Amino acid sequence: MKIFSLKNLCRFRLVFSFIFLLIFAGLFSGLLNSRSDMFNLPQWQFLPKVMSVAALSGITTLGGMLIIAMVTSMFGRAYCSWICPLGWLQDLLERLDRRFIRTNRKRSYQKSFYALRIAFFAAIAIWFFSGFAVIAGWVEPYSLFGKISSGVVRGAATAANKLFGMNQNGITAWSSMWFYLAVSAGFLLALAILVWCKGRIFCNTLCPAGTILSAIASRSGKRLQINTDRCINCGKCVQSCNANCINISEHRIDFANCFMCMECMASCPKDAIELVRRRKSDLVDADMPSMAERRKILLATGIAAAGALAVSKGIKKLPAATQLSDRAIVPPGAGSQERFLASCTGCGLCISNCKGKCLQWATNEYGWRGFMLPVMKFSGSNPGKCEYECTACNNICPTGALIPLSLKRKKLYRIGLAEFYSDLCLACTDDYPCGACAEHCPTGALEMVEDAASGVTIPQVNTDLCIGCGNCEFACPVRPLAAIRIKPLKECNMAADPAEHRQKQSAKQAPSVIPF
Amino acid sequence: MNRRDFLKTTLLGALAVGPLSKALHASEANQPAATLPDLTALHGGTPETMWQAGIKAMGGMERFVKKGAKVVVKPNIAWTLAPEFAANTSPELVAAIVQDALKAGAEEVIVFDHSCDNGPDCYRISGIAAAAEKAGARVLHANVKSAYRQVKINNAAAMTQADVFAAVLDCDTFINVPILKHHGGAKMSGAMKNLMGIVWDRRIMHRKGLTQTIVDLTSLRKPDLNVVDAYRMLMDHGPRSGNLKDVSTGKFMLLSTDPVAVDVAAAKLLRFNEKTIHYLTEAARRKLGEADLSKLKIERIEM
Repeated sequence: MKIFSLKNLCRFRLVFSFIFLLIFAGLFSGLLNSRSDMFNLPQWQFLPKVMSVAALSGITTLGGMLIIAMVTSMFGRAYCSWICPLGWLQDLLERLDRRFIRTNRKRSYQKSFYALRIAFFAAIAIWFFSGFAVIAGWVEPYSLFGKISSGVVRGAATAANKLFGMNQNGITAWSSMWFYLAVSAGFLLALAILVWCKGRIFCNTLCPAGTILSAIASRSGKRLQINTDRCINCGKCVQSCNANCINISEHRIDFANCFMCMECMASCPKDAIELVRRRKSDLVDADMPSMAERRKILLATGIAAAGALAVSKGIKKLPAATQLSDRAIVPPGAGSQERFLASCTGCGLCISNCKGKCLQWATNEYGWRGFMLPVMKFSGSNPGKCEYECTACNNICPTGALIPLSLKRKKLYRIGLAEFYSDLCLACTDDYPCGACAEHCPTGALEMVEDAASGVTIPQVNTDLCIGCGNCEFACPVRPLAAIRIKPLKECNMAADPAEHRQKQSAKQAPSVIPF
Repeated sequence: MNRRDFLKTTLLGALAVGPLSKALHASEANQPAATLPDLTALHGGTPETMWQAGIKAMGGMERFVKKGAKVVVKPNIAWTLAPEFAANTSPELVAAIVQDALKAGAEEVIVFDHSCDNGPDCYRISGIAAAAEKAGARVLHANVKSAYRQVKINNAAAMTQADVFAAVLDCDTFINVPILKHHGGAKMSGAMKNLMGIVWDRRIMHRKGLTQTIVDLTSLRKPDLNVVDAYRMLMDHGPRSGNLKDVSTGKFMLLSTDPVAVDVAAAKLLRFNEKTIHYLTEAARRKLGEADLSKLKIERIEM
C-alpha cells in the first residue's frame, strides 16, 4: 500500500490539523505567547480576513483568505477539517462520544437546513455591517475557539499549575477568571450538545465561514463521488463521514457540505469513492434545494434580514445601549471606540499575547455591545500596564480591528490621558513624595514638580506627551482607586515625540574630576 | 651547651616557629587589609578597565569570592532601554564581574533583577542577559513569585517582612552593581535604591515610604561589595527617562563594601547635597554605614 495515496490522506489530515489545534490552543490560551512571532498562523484564517476586508483594513494580509477561497474552489471545504480548530474540536468530541459513551451510535445522512442557514447568515452579516461585530464573534468558529481556549485551556493550565506548583512559566489566571471560565465553558457545552445531537451540524448550518465556503465548494473543480459500479452498499462510508453528507441510498455526496476529511475513502473496502472532475449536471443535483424550498429560503432570509435590521436600528435608537463608554480604554491601533466595537469579534488573541497583561476581557465596560471584547485595565483586581516596547496586540489581530503599528508609531499612539487626583495622592495625603508614577512613565509626560502653594512635590501631566499607556496608574501604590488614572479617549490620536519635544540638554552635567 | 639543652632549644624553637610563622603569615595577609581603602573612586576609563583597576585596589576578587562560593550579581535591569540611555547597568561591567568571580573560583554566578518593565524584554534590550551568559553566569528570571521567599526583617522601621529573591538569601557573596541615576521619588538611585530589585512587591515600599523601606531592606542583607556604575550617568528625569538629553558620560566608578559610604560619594557625583537624600541620613543614623567621607580611607584613581 502506497503511503502517499489519497486513501491515506485522512491520516495526514489528523496529524496536520492536530498540530494546528495545538498551536491555536497555545496561542489563544497564551501558553505560546512568548514565541508568537514564529506563529503567524492567525493570519491564515478565513472569516477574520473576510471581516478585515469588509472593515477596509488589513488589506495587506489578504493572502490567507484568497488561498483558502482558491483551495475551496478547487477541492471543496478542506479548510473546515484541515485547519479550522473548532472543526477539529468537534471531531474530537464526537470521537470521544462514539468511543466511550454511545459506542454503537450510527451516523446517517443529514440534509442541510438551508432556510435556517441562509437566514441566520443574513442576520449575522447585517448585524456585522451595522456595527455589532460582537455577535459575529459568538458564532464565527475562530473567535469561538479563542474564547473557549482562553477560558478552558488557560483555566486548566492555571489549575494544573496551582496543583503541581510548577509556576516557572508564570501561568496565571486572567482577571475575573471564574466568570470567563464559566462563559467559555458554556460555549463549549453548547457546542458539545450540538455535536451530541447532530454531529457537526454547527459547521453546516450556523457557521458563517462554513456558509460562504459551502457556496464556493458547491461549484468546486474536483469532488468526491461514489462509483456505483463498485459500490456494494455496505454503508461504511456513512459511518466514517464527519460531515454526515453521504446519501448512500442515492449514492450521492453532498459536496457543498463535505469537509474533505477523506475518511470515507479510507473506509471504503472497494475503493468506490473517487476524486473526480465536477460534471455540469452536478450543479442541479438533488442535494440543492428544490424550487419550492428556494421560495421558503428566500422568505426566511427576508424575514431574518428585516428583523436583524430592525433590531439593530431599534437598539441604536436606545440612548444607553450604543452610547460610547467613558470607562473603556481601547488597545493601541483601534482607531476609535466606535470603529473597534464594529470590527472586533473578541477572539482574545491580543489578550493572551499582551505582554503587560493589561488587556483583559470586558464585561460591561463598553456596554453590552462589547461583552467579552478586549479592554485595557491598569488598576483593579488584577491590573497590568501597556508595555512601551511592545506591539503584540495590534500586530497579531487577525480581523483588522487593531491596525498593525510600527514600534515607533505605537510609542506615540494615544489611547487615553492620565488624570491626577490630588485628594488620593500620597504626596498630598501623607506629605510624602512617592513619585512611583513619574518613575514608570516611559514618555516623560509625568514629572514630579514642587507645588508652589503647598511646597509638596506632586506629579504633573504633560498632555502633549501622554499616550495613556497606564504605567503610572499601574505603579501608583494607592488602592483600590489609584491617584492617577487613565481617562479613555473615544477617538485615538497621536502624541508628540518626546525626543523632539525636549529641546534642551539636561542642565546638570557630570563633574569632570572626582569631586571628593 | 650540652646535647640535652641543644635538643630542648631546637625542639622549642621548632615548636615556636610553627605558630610564629603562621602568625607572621597571617599578619602579612592582614597587613593589606588594614591599608585597603574603604572606598575606591575611579575616573576616566571604560567600565571594564575601571572595574579591573578598582577591584585590584579593593584587594582583588579573591577577597570577596572564595573557592566554591555561590555568587549573586545584582545589576539594575529595570527598563526596556538600551545601554546608552543610562537606565540599566552597563552590560560589559556585569560581564567583567561575572568573569572575575568565576576566575576566583566561584561555583556559580547568578545574575538577575526584578525589572519594572517586562522582564524578558529588559534582559534582552539592556544587553545584560547576553553579556552575562556569555561570561558564564546563570541568568535567572525574576518575574515569578515562586522565586521569592518571605523573610522577617529584624529591627525594621517600616517593612517588617518582605518576599526576597531566594538566590540572594542563599548566596555566599552578594555583589550589588547599580547604575547611578537621578530618581524622581527617592532623589537618587544608587547602591541602596538598587536593592528594591530583590523584592517582589515594590508597590508596598512606595506605599510605606521609600526612606524607611530602603534602609530596612539594606539592613536585611548588606551587599558584600557595591560597584556603582557611573560611566554613563542619568542626571535628570530618572530613573527611566529614555531621553539621551538626560545622559552625561562622567566615566566614573565607585567600589566599596559600605553601601552608605558609596551612596554618599555617588550623591556628590550627581551634584546632590547628600544630606538632602533622606534614606542616606536615615541609614547613617541607624549605623548601617559611614556617611562622613572624611572618616574613610579613599583611594582615588585617575585613568
